[in-house]
Amino acid sequence: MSDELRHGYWRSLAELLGAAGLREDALREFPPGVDGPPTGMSRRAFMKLLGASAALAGLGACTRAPEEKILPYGRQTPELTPGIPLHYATSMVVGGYATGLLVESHEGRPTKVEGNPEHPASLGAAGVYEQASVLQLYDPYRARSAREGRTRKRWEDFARALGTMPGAQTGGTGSGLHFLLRPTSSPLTATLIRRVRERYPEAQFHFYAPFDGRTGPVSSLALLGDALVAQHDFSRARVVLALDSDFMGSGPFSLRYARDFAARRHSGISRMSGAGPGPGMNRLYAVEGMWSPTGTLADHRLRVRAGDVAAVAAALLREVITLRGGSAGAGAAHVQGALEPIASGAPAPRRWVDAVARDLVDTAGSGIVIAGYDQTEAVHAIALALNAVLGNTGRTVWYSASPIFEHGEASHDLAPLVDAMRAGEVQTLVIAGGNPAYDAPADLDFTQALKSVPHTAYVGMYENETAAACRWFAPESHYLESWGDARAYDGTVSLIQPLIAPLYDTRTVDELLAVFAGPDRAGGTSAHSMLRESWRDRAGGIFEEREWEETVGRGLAPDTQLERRTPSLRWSALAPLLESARLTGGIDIVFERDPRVYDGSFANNAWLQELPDPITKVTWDNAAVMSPATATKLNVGTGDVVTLSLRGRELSAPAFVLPGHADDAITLRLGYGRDGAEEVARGVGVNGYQLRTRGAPHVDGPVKVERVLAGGSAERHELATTQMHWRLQGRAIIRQATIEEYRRDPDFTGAQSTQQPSLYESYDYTKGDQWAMTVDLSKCTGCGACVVACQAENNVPVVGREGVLNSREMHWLRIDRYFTGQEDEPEAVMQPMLCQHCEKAPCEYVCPVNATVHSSDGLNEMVYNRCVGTRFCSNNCPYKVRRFNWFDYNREIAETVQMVKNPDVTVRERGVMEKCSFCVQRIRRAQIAAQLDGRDVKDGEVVTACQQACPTRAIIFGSYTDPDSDIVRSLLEKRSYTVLHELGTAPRVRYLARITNPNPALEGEA
Amino acid sequence: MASLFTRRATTRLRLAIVLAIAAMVGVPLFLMGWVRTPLERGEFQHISQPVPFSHQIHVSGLRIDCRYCHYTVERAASAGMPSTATCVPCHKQVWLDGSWFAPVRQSLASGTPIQWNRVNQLPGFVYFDHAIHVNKGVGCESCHGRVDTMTTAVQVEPLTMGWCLDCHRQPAEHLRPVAQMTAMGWQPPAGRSRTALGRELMQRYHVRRMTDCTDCHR
Repeated sequence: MSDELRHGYWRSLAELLGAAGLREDALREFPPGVDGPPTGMSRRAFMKLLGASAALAGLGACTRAPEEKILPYGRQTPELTPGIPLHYATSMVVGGYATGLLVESHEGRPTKVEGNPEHPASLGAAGVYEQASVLQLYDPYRARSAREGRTRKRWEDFARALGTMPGAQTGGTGSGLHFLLRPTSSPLTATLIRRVRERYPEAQFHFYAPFDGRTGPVSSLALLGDALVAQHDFSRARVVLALDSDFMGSGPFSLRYARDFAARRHSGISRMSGAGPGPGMNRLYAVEGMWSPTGTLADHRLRVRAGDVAAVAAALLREVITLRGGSAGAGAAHVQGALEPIASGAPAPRRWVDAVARDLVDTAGSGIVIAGYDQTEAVHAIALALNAVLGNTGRTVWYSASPIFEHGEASHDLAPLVDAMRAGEVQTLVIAGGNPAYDAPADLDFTQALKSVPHTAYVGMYENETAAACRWFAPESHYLESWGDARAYDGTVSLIQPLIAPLYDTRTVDELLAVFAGPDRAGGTSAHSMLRESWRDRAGGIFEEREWEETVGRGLAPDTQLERRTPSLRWSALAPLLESARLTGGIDIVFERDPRVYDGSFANNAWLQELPDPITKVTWDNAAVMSPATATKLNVGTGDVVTLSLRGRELSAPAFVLPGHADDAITLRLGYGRDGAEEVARGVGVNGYQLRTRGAPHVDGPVKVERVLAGGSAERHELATTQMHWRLQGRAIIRQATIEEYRRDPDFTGAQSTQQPSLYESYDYTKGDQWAMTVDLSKCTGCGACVVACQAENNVPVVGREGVLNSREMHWLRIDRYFTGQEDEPEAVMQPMLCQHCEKAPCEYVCPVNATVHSSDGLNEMVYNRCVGTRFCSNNCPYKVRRFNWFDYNREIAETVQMVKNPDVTVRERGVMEKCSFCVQRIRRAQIAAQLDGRDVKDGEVVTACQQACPTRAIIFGSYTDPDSDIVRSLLEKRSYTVLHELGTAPRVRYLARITNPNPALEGEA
Repeated sequence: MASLFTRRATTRLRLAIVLAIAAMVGVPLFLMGWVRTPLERGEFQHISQPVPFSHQIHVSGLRIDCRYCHYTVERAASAGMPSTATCVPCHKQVWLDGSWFAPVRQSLASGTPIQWNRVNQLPGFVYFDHAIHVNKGVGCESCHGRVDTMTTAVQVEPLTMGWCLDCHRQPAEHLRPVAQMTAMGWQPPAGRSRTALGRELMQRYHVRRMTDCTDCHR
């Protein structure tokens, strides 16, 4: 191990171990290949283009700019002023649950998605899927028209054809008619399903999604007597135990949970800077195999395989029941025997179990135990029991009916449908949304079963694998083109309002169901009229136009949360559920949702494909992720292709070695390896669904792992990671302390706040607005919402896998992930890194054409029209945040994709440098608005795109000349420091040191 | 031995060298001069429009305020091109069935825009905001000239960065009371110099010298 890094932070194993070659690379300013000529183009062609462009560049001066037309409206819409964007409330549904959004619209063209501050699932934040969804709207590979076989048809033809299919004829009973839908929480869809069932009593509905969270309701059905889902209030939780739960990074309500958790964390830390220590800071224990954003924030993270989480949970439950003694209740004592066999094998140190159990008991009533959304019934049952024993139920945890229609019921099981298909009982199968031919369990062989159905119809956004297997296909509308409704995780009814008329001949799932529910069998019923009708029915037949308008305007119906329920626990039901908890030998394989493409439904979104994975930093790929110990045992390294064999099925995938991953387990993210008509997604990564079976959707094993040999040497697949670029060389870029250390020495970053001597003359930065930003490392989960938000707001181009391999990615804001501590039990720290807007900016001194200069309000400005592309600035930037346009990434994009561009930001062309501008277009807009009102810009009026998206509010932005502002309070926190302070660059971005709250009883352990 | 090259060849060579040098110096000089001519910038260039709209008749003849048609100028970046429907209330009485009005009638019937040709054009990387300029006392005339005398609208100023900066560095010379924003041929009251009044207005309207790059380039 290299000495300099022994106690410091390291970014990858190769760096920690001082791999040969890395040292040399580190001395180079740019990674090799970054300035190479374009591949796939001959030198001759390159020279020809070069010559032509030089000649044209000269001629450009002799001609006037191309003539432009002005196209005023024929009839002006009253609320619209050209040039002033409007925001409309709508909701996006992911995994069946709605998140409220405000979408920015420029003259009727949605360009940017933001959170709806009023909506309980958002509170103003928006995650990566929401942020990137606007690109999906304009995706040129979306399906555009209906078809039968290979013949193009219109929607009306499709609707008519549906009406003639067996079982669906008018007056029929619906025998042989089956529907396969995504799990839905929409009250409107539920109404339509009921109406179809009334009309066709024998028609059957099935629901399938590869990640449906059924285990929660199923376990509560046994334990509580009803299929319920757990609801949590993290703002009141002092101790949180996450059992393989990424409650802050993914899953329903994660934006809200992240906000509540971070707010509690912050109030605990920031009270420090004032009067004295407060008891407010929460503590997070995470038990997980693969790193999750939540796990990176944990004060104590226990590294165990996903399959062993139940055992650890059982050990904790056993301990907690013992500690609670009589107050645990009579039933509790009886389950001790059932817990024993599982708990005794728990791969957790005795000391860890004791300390966590003690901590949970000490904070009984103000703690939360949360089970992973995709974890087994056993883990959900134990979490439920733990909350009951600890008295958390009714305080920080309660239950409600599931917002998902028939969640946990038999209709959510795909197997009966596939059996019926094989038995020839299904005459007509209508699939609405989803992609079962791709993501159904491998052992069901859905695609094969589909061949025995005589009449198949599919409605979806893409001509994907399922579309290819169905005779009839019709395109589905994007949510930004749809009317509809859905419930948030807490039950709040949220409205889906279109921002734009459908770009193609598309319809929504509700409109499809209306073909069957009638009265208009020709498919003419609009979702808008159905939605209004359903609202009239809800209000008992009275339709108040004004009330409706207001509800649509707000995007949600207030006070529609599902009823809080706290049924008592049936202890006797616990033991049978524990049977699914298993401890096996060999190597496990864990199937996870991807933090970027979800279950594959966002795979064609280039923004998400290029978003680095929060932990592995892999783009444009998935990998078989394993721990260093497992890799050593299997004799593989990162990039080696391995064959995974499980139950007679095989899959080859590149390995990725990740410190902190559980041993003897391989995590495979799903959603890749597509082969439909989605050009962006096709051929990216490997399809893990080929190994996933119905009985073991989350963890399976043992899996046989073998290296693939090609001609004597290992076959390799280069993974396009952003991880290896820009390494640390042992500098103290991250500062962190425990709350105890911070209490003792609040000034522990002290050296950072002194002024460095400078030869450059200083400028008076005390007048007017002076922009500054702070990033709180105690709150950053590394989820990546800010990265996508920045990409959408600032027209940041996508460079593709080749580009990332050559280190040409263009993200203005990246999230650096550092590991600290021991190699086998590391901690992870996330650090968003963007232009630091240095007051003494090294880039500015070296620009020969003054293309990067400083503004009087403290912005490091990049003037594209002056830049000649010498790249001196990037060479001289110590933070490596400047991005160079190696090619014309924007010249040949589809016409529809051009519509996503923000008109307030220049679209850059080849040969210019670019970087974070602090969202200067938003600053100037706010300044002009304030000046028109004859006032100063108010605190909170300028919100940068990254700040707006951040679920945990880790980013604060504002002018430090306003003494009563969040930014000043944040800058004055004692733990704030600047990165690379010793260089004297005087950055305007300050980081707040990461403060952790470890359990004193676990001192000396990770 | 006869010389290798004829006299004429030598002369030609000399001439060619002189011409080459002249071209090397002359062409850049010409181009540098050319970009500084009004012709290159499109000043005073006649641009035909689908409808022969005369600002002169509407402004100076009928005394219609600029803001009747360009109605977002005080609150938006764009001054606002009037929608076709704006023409109708007055023109219902006159001209609407004339042959000049064919594009207007067509636009009204179909709802499609009339395609006007842009007269004052800024490059795509410049973000100009009308609202802030007119609210700080820059009159329409300062950039668009005596529109009241134009039968067809023409560009009368260079619209170059140097021209913008002249005012951004020394705004006082170019300011007028906001109430006189749309006035054509406005002169400061007798006895007041433009500069003195401008200084006073700068104070009153909190006018700053806006010379940061990102004020216009984003």
